[in-house]
Amino acid sequence: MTDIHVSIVIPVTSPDIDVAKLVHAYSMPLRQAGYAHEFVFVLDSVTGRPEHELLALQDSFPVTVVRLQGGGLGESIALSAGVERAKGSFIINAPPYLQSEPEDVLKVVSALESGADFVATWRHPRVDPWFNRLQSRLFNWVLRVLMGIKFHDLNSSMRGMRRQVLEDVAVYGELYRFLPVLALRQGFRVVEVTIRHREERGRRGFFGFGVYLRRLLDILAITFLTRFTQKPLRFFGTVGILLIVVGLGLSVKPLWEKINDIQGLSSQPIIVLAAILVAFGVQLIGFGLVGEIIIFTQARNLRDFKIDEVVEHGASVPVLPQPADNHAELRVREVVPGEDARWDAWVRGHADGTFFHLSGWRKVVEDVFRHRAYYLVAERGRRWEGILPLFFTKSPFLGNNLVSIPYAVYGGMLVENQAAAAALRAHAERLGRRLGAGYVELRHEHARFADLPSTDLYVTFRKAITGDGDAILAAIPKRARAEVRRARDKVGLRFAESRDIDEFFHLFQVNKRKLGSPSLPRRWFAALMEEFGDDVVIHVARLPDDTAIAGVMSFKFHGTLFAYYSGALHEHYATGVNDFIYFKIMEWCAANGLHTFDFGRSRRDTGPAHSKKNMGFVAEPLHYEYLMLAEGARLPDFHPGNPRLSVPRRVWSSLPGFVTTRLGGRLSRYLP
Amino acid sequence: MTSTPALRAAVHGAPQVSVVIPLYNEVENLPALHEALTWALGTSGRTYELVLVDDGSTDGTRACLRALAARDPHVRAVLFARNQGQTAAMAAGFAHARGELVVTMDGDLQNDPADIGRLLRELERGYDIVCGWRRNRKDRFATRLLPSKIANKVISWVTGVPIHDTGCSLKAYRSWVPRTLELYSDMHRFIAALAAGVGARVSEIPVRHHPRRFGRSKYGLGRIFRVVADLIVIKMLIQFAAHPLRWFGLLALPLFVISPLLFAIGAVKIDRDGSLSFAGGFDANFSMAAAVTTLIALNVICLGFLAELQLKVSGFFRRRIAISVKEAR
Repeated sequence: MTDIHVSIVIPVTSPDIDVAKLVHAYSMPLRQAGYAHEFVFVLDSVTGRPEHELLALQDSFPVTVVRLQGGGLGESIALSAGVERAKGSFIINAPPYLQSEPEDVLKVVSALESGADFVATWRHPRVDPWFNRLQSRLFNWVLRVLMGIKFHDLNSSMRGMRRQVLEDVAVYGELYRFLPVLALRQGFRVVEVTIRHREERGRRGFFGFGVYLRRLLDILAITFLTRFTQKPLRFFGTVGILLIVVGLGLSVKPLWEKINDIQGLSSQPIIVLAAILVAFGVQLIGFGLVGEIIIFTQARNLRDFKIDEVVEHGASVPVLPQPADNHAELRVREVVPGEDARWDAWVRGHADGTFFHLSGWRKVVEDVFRHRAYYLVAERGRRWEGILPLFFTKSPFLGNNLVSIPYAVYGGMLVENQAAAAALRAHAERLGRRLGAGYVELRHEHARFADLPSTDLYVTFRKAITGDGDAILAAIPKRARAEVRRARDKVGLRFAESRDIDEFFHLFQVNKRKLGSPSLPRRWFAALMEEFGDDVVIHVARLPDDTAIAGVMSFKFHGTLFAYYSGALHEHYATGVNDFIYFKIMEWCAANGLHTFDFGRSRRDTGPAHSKKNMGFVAEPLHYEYLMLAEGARLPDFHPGNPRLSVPRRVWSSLPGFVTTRLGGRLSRYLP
Repeated sequence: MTSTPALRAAVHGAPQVSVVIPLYNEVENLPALHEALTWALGTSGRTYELVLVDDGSTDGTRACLRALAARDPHVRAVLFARNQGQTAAMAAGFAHARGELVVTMDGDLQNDPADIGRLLRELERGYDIVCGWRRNRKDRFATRLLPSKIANKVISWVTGVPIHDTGCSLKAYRSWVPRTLELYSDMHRFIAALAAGVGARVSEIPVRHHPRRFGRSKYGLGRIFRVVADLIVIKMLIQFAAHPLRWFGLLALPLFVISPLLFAIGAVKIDRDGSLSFAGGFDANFSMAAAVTTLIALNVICLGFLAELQLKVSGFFRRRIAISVKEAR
C-alpha cells in the first residue's frame, strides 16, 4: 500500500479557480501536522488555464488530475471518480475555493483519526448574506424535522470520510448532499465539527422555484428511502389513516344536513372530496400491504447486512495475555446474573453446601422480601475458591445488617482455603461499612473465625436414616414410639404428600399465631415451591375424616431432607400427631433414597428442642458468628425467648387471625 | 437419539446447538456472559457453538471477541464493521449457525444462560420453537412493563399464538425455522407468530430475568403505532398470505358498502315524520362520491391481484411448504 494518508478530492466545475493558492493553503497545515497527503482534482468539463496550472504544480506537489468527459455530470459522479483515483485511506472532499480556514482541515482529519467514519462540517459563524443563511437554516430545519437527525449544515461542502463509506453508500444525482444522512443510516459513525467560514461563492439570493422544489423532492425521497423501505405499511398506513380521518371528518356536516334535509339536492360538493379522501386512504393502505408482501417474499434478496469478518478458533489473532490460574491474584467480586448455574454447581460440589446457599434462595428472598443481595465469590484467575451470599436487611427491630443467609438456618461462607475465607471476610467488612450495616451475621454450622463473637443460642438436630420403617420406629425412644403407634393404629391418622399451599399455610400460620410470632407470607411458600419445584415437599397428617391437622414443608438437598416449616393444630396434639408426622417423614425419606433427616434448628433448652430430643435426636450446636461493625452494635436478641417480648407476643396471639395473617406477612420482612 | 447428532458432529464438525447472540457495546458483560454460557452449555452434555455477532460496537467488544475466539474453540465471532441493527445481527448470526438447534438470547445478561438447557429439553419434547417468558420481569412498571403487557395481550390475541412475552429474546428453534423465515426490519419480535403460521409447534416456558447491571437499555417507549402497523402485516401474512386477494377484498369491503349507501342517500328525501320517499332525482354530488368510491374499491381489488401475482412469482410458498414437509415428523 501507499503511505498516502489523506487524499483531498476537489471537484472543479468552473475555470474560475486559483489552484495554486488552494494547494498551498491546504498543504501547509497538513505538512506541519505531519500527515502524508495528496490532491485529486476532478475537472468536470473544465479545460484550459486550471488544467495547465495543475500540471505545473505536479512537479512540487502530489497532484492527480481526473478529467470527466461529457460535461455536467454533477457532484456525485465527480466525487466518486475522484475517490476512485485517490490513494489515501482518509478522503477529504473540499470545494474548489477556500470556503473555510484551511487549518480547519486538521479538525476533520483528527476526527477521522479518532474513529469517525464520516465527518460533516458546520460553517459557524457564517459570513454570507442573511438570505442565504435563512435558506440554509430552513433547509436543515426541514430535514431535522422530517428525519429526526441533528445536522446543522448539510450544505457545507467540506467533508471527511473513510474510503469505506463511498464504497458502501451509493450516491447519485443530488444525493451527495445527503451523504452524512445516508452514511449514518448505514451505521457509520458520523460526527460534526465546526469550521470557521471564510467566503461563499456560488449562487446568492433567490435560487428559483425549480431549485426549491427539487430540494424538497430530494428530502422526501431520502426520507422515504431511509425510513420506510423496510416497512412500507408504516409509511403508507400513516398517510392512509390520516386521509381517512380527514375524509370522514369532512363528510359529517354534509351527511348531517342531508339527512335532516336542511340543504336540497346538489348543494354539497364537499362530499365528493370526502369520498375521494377516504377511498384514497384505503387505497394507500393497500399499497402499503402490497409493499409488505413484496418485501416479505423477497427478504432473501434484501438481507442488507454486511459482515466484516468471521473469526474462529485457529485464526491468527493476537492472544491477550491470560493470567495463569495458579499464580493469579485472589480477588472478590459479586457474581453476575448469568452465573447462577455455576454458583449452584459450586454449592453442590462443596462439602458444607446447603440448600439455602443455592441461587434460588436468593431469587425467592429478593422477590418476596426485596432485600438487596450481594453474592460474593473469591476468584483466583477463573477458579472459584470461595463464596459468600449476603443480604442487606433493613429492619426497625434489628437495625440494618448484612445477613448470610436470612430466613435460613445455615448460611455463611463456603471456602476451599483460609485465604479465600479471609478475603471474603475482609470484603464483607468493607461492604458492610460502606452500607452502614450494624453487623455481618454469618450463620455458620461450624465455628470458622475464633476471634469473632458468636452465639450458641441455637442447636440443630440431624439423624442418618437407615433401614426401613420398622427399624426407624425401633430407633425412636420408647415414649415417642408409643405415641406414634397410638396415632397410627388407634386414632388412625393418615399421612400424605401434598402440593396444596393453602392447606399447609393455614396450619403454619395458625401455629405461629399461637406461639405469638408473625407468620411468613403465603407468597413466600408459593415462591419457594415454584422456584425449587420437586425439591420442596409438603407432608400432611390427616384425621380419618380428612381434616389436615399437621403439615411440614421440607427441602431436599444432597440426600438430606430438611423438615423446615411446620404447623400443627394445638387441639389435636393429644393424638400424637407431632411424633407421628415426623416418624412418617423419616419413613418417607427411607423410601425415597434420602440418607439424612434434618430436623431443623431450635433454641437451646426450649420445648421444641426437648421434643426433638425425645424423638431420639442429638443436639449439635450452631455457631452463628458476627462481625461487629457499627459503634455499640449488639448481638441480636430479638427472638421469641427474650422476656421483654412476652407482652407483645401475648397481644399478637390474641389478635384476630385475618389481622395477624396480613400483618405477619409484612412484618416478617423485618425479621430475617 | 443420542448417537445420531453426536455422530453428525463427529463427521461434519457441526455442533448440536448454536447459541446466537447479537452484541452491541457489551464489553463489560462479555467475559461474564461467556463464562456463564460455557458453564451452562458445558454441563448440558451437548456439543455447542457460540455465534457471537458484534454489531459494530465502539467500546472494545470486538477485540474482546477476537480474544475469546482465539481461546475458545466454541466461539465463532461474526463482526460487523458498523452498527446495522439487532435484526441484521440476528440474521447474520442465523446464517452462521450450524447447529440443529438454535438458541437466541440478549448479550446484556438479562437472560440467564442457565435456562438454555430447559429450553432445549422443551424443544426436544416435539416443539419447533420454545419462547422464553420473563414472568417476574424486573423493569420499570409504567414505562416498560405495562406497555409490554398490553402489547403482548394484543399480539397474542391478533396472531392467535398464546405467547405471553414476544419481546423476550431468549428463544430456541429447530434450525429450519430461521432458515425458512428470513428476518427483516423488526420481524424478530413476531417470529413465533410467523412460524406458527407455517405450521411450527410453539411452546413457552418461564425463564429468569435479571435487572440490567451494566450499560443502558437500548429500547424505549413510543412505538405503539409501529407495533400496530407491524401487527396488521403479521395478521395478513399469517392468515391471508396464501390468498392476498381475500385480504384486499376485506380492505375494499367498506368502500363497497359506502358507495351504494351514498348513492341511496342522494336519492331519498327524509320527511319530518321519518318516512323515506324518492326525492325525484339523484343528487349529483352524492352520485359522484359514490362513483369515486366504487372506482377505488375496484382499484384495491386490483392491488390484490398484483399481490397474488407477486406471491406466485416469488415461489415463496413452494419453498416454504417444501421445507415444512421435510421437517415434519
